[in-house]
Amino acid sequence: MSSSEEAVEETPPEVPERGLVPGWAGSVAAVAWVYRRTRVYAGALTALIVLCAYLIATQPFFLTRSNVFNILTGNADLMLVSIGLTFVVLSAGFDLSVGAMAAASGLAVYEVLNAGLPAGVAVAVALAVGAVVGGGVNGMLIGKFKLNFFVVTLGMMSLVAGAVDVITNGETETIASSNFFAGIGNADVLGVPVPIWICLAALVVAALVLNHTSFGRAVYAVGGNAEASRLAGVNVTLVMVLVYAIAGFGAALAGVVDASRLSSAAPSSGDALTLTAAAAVLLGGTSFFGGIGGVAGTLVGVLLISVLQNGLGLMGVSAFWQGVVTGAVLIAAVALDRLQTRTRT
Amino acid sequence: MTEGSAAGRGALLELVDVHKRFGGTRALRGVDFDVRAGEVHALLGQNGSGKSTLMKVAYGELEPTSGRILVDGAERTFASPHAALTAGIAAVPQEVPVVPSLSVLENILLGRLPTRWGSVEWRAARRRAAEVLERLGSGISPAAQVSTLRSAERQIVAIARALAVDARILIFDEPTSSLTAEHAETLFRIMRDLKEHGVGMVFISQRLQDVHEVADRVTVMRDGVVAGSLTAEAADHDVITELMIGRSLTDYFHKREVVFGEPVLEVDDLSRPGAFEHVSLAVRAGEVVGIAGLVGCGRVELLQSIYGVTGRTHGRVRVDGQERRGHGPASSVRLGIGMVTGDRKAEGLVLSRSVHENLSLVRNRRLSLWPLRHRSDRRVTHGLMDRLRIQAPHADAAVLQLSGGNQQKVVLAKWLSVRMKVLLLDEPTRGVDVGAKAEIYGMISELAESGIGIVVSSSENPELLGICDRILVMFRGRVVAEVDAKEASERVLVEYSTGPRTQLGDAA
Repeated sequence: MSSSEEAVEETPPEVPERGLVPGWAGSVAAVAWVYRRTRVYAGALTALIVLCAYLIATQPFFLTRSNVFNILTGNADLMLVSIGLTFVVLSAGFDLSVGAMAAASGLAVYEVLNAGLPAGVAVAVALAVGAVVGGGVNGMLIGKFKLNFFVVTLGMMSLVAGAVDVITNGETETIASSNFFAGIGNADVLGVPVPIWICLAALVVAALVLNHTSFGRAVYAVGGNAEASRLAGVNVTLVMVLVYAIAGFGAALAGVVDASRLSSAAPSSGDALTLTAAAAVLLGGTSFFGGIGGVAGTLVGVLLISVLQNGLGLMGVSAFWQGVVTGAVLIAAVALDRLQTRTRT
Repeated sequence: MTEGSAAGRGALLELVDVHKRFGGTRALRGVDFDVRAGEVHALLGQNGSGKSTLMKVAYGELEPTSGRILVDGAERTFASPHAALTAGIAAVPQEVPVVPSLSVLENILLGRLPTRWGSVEWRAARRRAAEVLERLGSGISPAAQVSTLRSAERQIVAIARALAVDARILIFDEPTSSLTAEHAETLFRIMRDLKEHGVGMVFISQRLQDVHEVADRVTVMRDGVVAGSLTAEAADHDVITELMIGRSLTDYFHKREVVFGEPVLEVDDLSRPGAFEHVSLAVRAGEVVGIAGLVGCGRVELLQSIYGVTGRTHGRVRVDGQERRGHGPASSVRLGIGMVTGDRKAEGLVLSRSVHENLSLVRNRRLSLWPLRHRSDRRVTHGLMDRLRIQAPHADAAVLQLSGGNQQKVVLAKWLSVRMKVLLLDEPTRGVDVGAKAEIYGMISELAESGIGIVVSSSENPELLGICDRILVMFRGRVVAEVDAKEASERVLVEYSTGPRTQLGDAA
């Protein structure tokens, strides 16, 4: 990291060039602009395109409507958790508790419905619990009391997962659902399943917030240098609380979608989610050091993992191999990115 | 170890006609440079002049595009810093790469602890480390953990590491930029001592006064070539400055005539236990007040306390008659106080983000979900980049890529994106080249003229004398003198800042 920055420092900066450039120079500038914006996840995007092309060519079933919807709805929980996690990672933190939080959210829905309250209340309670536990506990402990994020969220993961086990006795609870609640995971709107709409909405909102609000830009600034941000007058504690609240909210939303889709709340449902989401965020080019990345990359990362798993399934590869391949792809992507960075400077 | 003093002998290290290209940029264009045994050869130049690149070639960090490297007259090529080290060339970089969690001993012998049958011979290791530390005349214990050391002491550890492998050529890359005056003095003493032992040294620095302290010869680089080479005696301030920037610097400090307005900043009996006590001061609109003093005298802490960086201060801070309540920088910014922090990389910049985002940080500090006004933000950014002549490839370039001077301008400029009443500047030109310095001084004058009250804390007295109207001198946490900058001299400031003992004798 440091060697590349020093090499650049000695290079005299070029004359600033602004304004619109006509003709081919303009298109070169446009390509450069696109490259600048997508550089952090260019590798994963290329891999995704190549993978899709290969599957389209070899697996006739891959590009069918039902398979595509199956990929997207089946991984809606991963998408939602990853979007929330992106905020936290951008702020140079991490949240290990998102998987457990998703499971707890499903359980919250079950309990509220069981108490005879309407589905709308159940969903609202589940989402609120996610946001409050994430922001109010994780975020406060990390942002206000300066506890280490790894320790706090590791503890929270264990605590929440344990509490869910205690309440459910480790058993999957079946949700006798209303039409409205079942619709969240299973209905179609305009021919597209609702979970896909939810993911799409979450992506758009997250991208808008990150790129077009001062809060979003503060997330990047805090992730890049929290002390400089604080000294510039940014309320760093509030940023921390909010990013962990968003992560908790995303996880809770994932839990609600899953509970509806599967008509059940399973205590173990979130186990794999946290680390797969971490892989997706990383594949999407968001830096674990904070300050670099975004949800566009996370979308690419989630799609890459989802398509990879689907493709392996279609090709008849054992499900046990999927983890091996995902891990290998993750390491390869990070290594490639590192190589690319080195050759550039 | 090393042969005795041999200043008259041939060069220990010689670089001949060195070229280095980075893509299309020609960083070095045919540079000749040499170091003899027992001399300190100062290498000066603005950021981007190629001096660091040249030295990286010398110690194996970079391979030259063309050119020859001669050690003791024999041609060598270095594939890595390690290869250069084996040939006796060691670098002491600006930010010293020590392992904070390990002991001084292990850092000095990092990667080369003496072993027998695969197990470390701690006794021999301790002896070797103690020997080197003693040679440096340092009281650092080999058993101390490096994380407990101050930056000056870490630097000594880095020098010790170089000596432990019998390096005969030491390359210091701006070693004094992060050091206090006293610690710099220790470093100079060590360097003079090493000279006696026949070690050849290259000394990269931005501070001209450092050169007179230790250097025997001076080489100035500009735009990738040697602009001039002369003896240290011949190297006076004007000559060096002219060589560095390619023109003479007539209007270095901007003289201005301003009528001061009402007090904008009033500090009343401010104390922070252990740092400073009972400080009161008032700054009027348009006034530049300097704070001089040795490092550790409490001037940095004073600025930080006024700004609210840390809590636990007693006393009152008022801006335009309005008292600062609440803690933290955010409350100060709300009142109209801004602060340019001393350590731009740690506290001033978000290095991984763009110039535009850094410049917008203060302006968009309030967290909101309301859409940003990108168009006007861009306009402000471009306005600031033009106004301070910030040189960057484009507004979206990461500040990481900018030179030190341009980075410092970004730190200053972000406070100009909003209307401020008071600006606190801590070492506003630290590690910045002469050209950028002049521009920053100009900017400070311009800001004062626009009616902002400015407080500058600096360890460079000439700087304070040049830009301030009034200078407070601090000694051990107290303000011991207040002088009119027009009548004061460097000698007066130094006398006050070293305490009442000298002050009694012959202060002005």
